[in-house]
Amino acid sequence: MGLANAWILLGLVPVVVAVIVVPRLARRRRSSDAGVPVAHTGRLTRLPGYIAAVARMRGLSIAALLVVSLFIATAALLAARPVITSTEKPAKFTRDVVLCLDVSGSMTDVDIDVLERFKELSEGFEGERLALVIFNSSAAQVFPLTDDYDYIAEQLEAVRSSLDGTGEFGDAFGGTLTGEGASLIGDGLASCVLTFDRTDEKRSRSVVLATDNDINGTPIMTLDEAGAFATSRDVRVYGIDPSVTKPGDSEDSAEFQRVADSTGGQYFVLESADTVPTIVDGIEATEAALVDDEPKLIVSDQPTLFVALSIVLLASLLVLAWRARL
Amino acid sequence: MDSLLVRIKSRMFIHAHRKALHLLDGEYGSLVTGRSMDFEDLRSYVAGDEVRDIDWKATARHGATLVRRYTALRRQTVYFVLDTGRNMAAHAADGERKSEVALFVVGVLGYLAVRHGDEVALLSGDAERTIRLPARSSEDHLERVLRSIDSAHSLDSPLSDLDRTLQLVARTVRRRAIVVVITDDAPLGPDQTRLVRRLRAQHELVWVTVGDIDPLRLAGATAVDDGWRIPETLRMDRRLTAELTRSIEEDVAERQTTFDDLKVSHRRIGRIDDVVPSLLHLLKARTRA
Repeated sequence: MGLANAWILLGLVPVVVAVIVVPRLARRRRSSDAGVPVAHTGRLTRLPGYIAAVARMRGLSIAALLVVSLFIATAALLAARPVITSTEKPAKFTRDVVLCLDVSGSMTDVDIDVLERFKELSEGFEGERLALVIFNSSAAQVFPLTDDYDYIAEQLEAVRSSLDGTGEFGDAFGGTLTGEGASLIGDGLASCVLTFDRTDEKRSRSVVLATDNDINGTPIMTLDEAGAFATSRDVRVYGIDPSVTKPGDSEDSAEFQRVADSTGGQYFVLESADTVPTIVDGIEATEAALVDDEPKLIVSDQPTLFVALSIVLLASLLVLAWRARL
Repeated sequence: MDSLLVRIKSRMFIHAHRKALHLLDGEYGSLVTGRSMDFEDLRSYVAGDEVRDIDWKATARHGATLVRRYTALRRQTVYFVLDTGRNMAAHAADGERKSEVALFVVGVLGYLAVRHGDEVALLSGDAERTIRLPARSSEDHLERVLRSIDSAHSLDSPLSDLDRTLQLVARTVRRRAIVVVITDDAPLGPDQTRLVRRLRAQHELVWVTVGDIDPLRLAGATAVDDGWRIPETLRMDRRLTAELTRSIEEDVAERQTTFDDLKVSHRRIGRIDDVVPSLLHLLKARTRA
């Protein structure tokens, strides 16, 4: 725990001096105009009970002085704003990930693995927002960017179950076949890039694009154009390509890799379905590494303890002052 | 400035409805002459004595003609011995200033003395000063006495030292006089007792004590001698106040016993309203002694 306004503690010194010295001076001044002059106070001071009474009084005064000092110290600490500083990676809270899944027949298994893995990851998410867009001949948004992780898990599970045939068909493919052709990846990627909102804010944006880049039809935008569009929107594209076992094996995959690299993202080939979790973790790690370098100091006030303490001290001070007639 | 004596007289007459004033007059007379005078001052008739001076009863008892000798012309001197120290500026038992009570005592007794043709003298002092006024029998002189007492009493006065003044009286007042000592509750130690005994042998001694206020009675009490402000906490301490009240009561009773043992007329007065009745009581008790 630290103090935000520690200089106030320095300011405490004159306050303490004022509190202790001024009443003393005032008392000295007051004593000159004797209120009720009395003589032969020895009649009082020689009483045996007087010693005891003075001891009682002194005890009360010392206790009161102690409580006053503690109270002043507590109040000063409170004025100095006790805070807890913690370093957070605020990028986490400004990170948006769009899952962009090609749901053409050849991609189903990969999609299922990607969804599974993101469902698992979303449990550990804290502040990140996730969206899911599926596309075939047209793109359909399953859910927009959100940090409602229960909802995300529910939606991911629904899509996954319809992809593996255990759920409803419409969940996986609704709205993805309204155009002509199939696997129009450029259009799909562009749609995914358009999913990002709050374009005026500085956020970390990435697209996880799972596709075999096997275009069947005439897209409105080519993959290159979509990649350029993503770059212009400051969106990194992470590609997962199950069509080849080695990068650059086919012309399609080479293009895919080039586009992904040009956006600042990465390109992965899928050697087997088991590697999907590894790839997703890799993407997460890369993204995390990208935003990790700017930790931010989070300062949060912690007044509760001192407020409670000062209230207790003030109460006991009032009781003491009343008892001691200070 | 108003005449102090006029003020005192007006206060005395407030008490007149209690039929105290004329009684005081009579009792004062007996203080001056004493009861035994009649017998001591009888002598055999000689030619030329006034017939109305013959004490017929004594003559009948004695067989020879006896004449009463008048002592009326013998002038007594009343010495007022006061403490003018700081202590007297403190409060009396009932909240008035002790100096005011003392002044009133001097005024009443002095007025009676002057009316009887006796002389009034002042011998007062404290640790540093001695105020002395000669014996004169006039209201003007009494006024002077009162004023010098009044101006001497202040919170800035030197500390009280009654012993010094009493010793001065014992040493310097040679002629037998009526010595009226007016003090406060200052405790009487063995030295003081010895001094009182000596004064009593030398003079007619009348002692008036102006009772001191209970130090814990009023808020804001400050000791006159060292400026100690009595803490409010002590005043709220029931055990302490009870103990103090008990102790003061014991002191007062003990003081009266001491004076009774010394056969000195003594009265403790707490406020101005009590002065006339107390003095009456004092003088009456004297005549019986």
